[in-house]
Amino acid sequence: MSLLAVEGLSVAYGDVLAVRDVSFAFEEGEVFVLLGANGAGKTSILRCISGMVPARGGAVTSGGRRLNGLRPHQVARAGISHVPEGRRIFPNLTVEENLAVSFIGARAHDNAAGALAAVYEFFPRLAERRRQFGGTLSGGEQQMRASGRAIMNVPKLLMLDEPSLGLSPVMSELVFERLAAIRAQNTTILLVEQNATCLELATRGVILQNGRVLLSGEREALQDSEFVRRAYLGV
Amino acid sequence: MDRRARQFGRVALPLLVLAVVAILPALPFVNNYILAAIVRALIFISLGQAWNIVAGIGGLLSLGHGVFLGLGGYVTGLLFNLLGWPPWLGVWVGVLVSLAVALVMGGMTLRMRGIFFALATVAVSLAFDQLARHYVDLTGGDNGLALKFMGDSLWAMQSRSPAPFVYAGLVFVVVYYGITRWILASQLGLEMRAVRDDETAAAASGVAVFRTKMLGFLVSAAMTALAGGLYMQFYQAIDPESAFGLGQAIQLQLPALIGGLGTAAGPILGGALMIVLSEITNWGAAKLGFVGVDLLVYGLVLLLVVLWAPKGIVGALRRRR
Repeated sequence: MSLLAVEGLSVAYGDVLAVRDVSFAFEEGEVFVLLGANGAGKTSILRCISGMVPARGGAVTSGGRRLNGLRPHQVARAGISHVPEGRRIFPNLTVEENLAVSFIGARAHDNAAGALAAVYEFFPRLAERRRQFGGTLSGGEQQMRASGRAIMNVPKLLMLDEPSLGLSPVMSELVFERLAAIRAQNTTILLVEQNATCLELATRGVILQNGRVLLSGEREALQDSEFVRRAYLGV
Repeated sequence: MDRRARQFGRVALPLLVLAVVAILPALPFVNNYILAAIVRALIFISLGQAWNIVAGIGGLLSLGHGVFLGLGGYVTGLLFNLLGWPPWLGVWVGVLVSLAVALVMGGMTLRMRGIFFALATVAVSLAFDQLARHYVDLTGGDNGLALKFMGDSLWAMQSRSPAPFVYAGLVFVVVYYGITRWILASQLGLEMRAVRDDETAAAASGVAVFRTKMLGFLVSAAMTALAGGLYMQFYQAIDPESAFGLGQAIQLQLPALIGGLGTAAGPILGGALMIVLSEITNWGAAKLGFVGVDLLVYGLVLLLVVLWAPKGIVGALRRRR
């Protein structure tokens, strides 16, 4: 059974359909990418999976268990961790408190200190800044913190919404490098991006346009597709 | 600031102030006028601390906390006047009624964000204002409810001198300060602050947003109602305007806003400063025949705080370190 299966999903805001009849599924250990331009419906799909917006139609299941209808904190506690767009740090909490918040949804409550140590090992820069307020971190550090927060949950599935948004090329490279390391630790990743370089990391994915699936397949197929060439490589 | 000076500021200084206030009623040159001002300050601080829980820690700018102040006061007073229940007992009924109202009120308003929540709480306040004015036989209507006067009586929690209320007020301030410190250090406090900073990210992290808001709201409502009981016993009367009016709703916010939102020391510093300022200006205004100038001073101080110390007195002190 798929770790996550989305079947015929539609999401609407009022009368406007943002996502129409989208289906995809992936297994444990994959890095699955949702690629598309602004307004393609990528964020709406993530928000729907994590219970922040209701589905207009279709179903989301994880290992056969139905997710739609659950509230966001229930989805988080089921091991599906969502790092929302714009990094979403808590500006008036210290870095350490920021990380502690994420442990609320963690399954392994008894090992808070261990999880914290693991995140600091992963992102040494965060350890240096642990007493600093979240709002004073640089963009890249905030993204580390946001990812660190999600990692602390020891999630089954880590969903990231445009982690490279607004970062310098050097920083976004660092973030993707860390993602590869997270994946190496047996965490499945669902990655939403506009930036096609993220396909380097991917096993499979879909390309979305105007709320519909334009193309779905293996990494190579997506990289070679007309859409990616035209949209991102300009050839 | 070196460490010893900071320790003095954190521990020794507050204990010193506490001791001085506790000794004041025994001193010969301290008259009832000064003691009454101190009691007003202590009640003001307690109400501000209760509001600080929901607004400062939880980020919910409630303009409806007058409802809980009023319920605490009215219920305590009515049970005494009608049934002869001592306030020691009656105030807890007031707390229970407030909790029930807070549960319904929170259920209706806590899913709203920002300004919409604030406006909804104003509406609830105004509804209670109308109720209190309408049921004249029960509440005394526009004139308000006055306690049956019993003279000096511990059982009825009444006293001609304000001195006993200084001690009651001190207990409130110390306990409420402790509760605030405890919440700030607790898991609930962490969740409330996370929700305050970013509701969406908090939910994504596994925080049960609505439940967290509701818990903070209930704690704050109960604390406000309890302080409302003390308010009733001290002033011996309560009326719709001073309980449910918009003026009171704004007053309740001043200690935390001026002292420092979301800090345990903030409402104490802010509340004390406001009462001292209001007493000095009223005294000056009486000399000059210019009554009501304290409201002007409130407004001015609030303006200065917003402009130069948006994080209040505590924020300004921290920044200097």
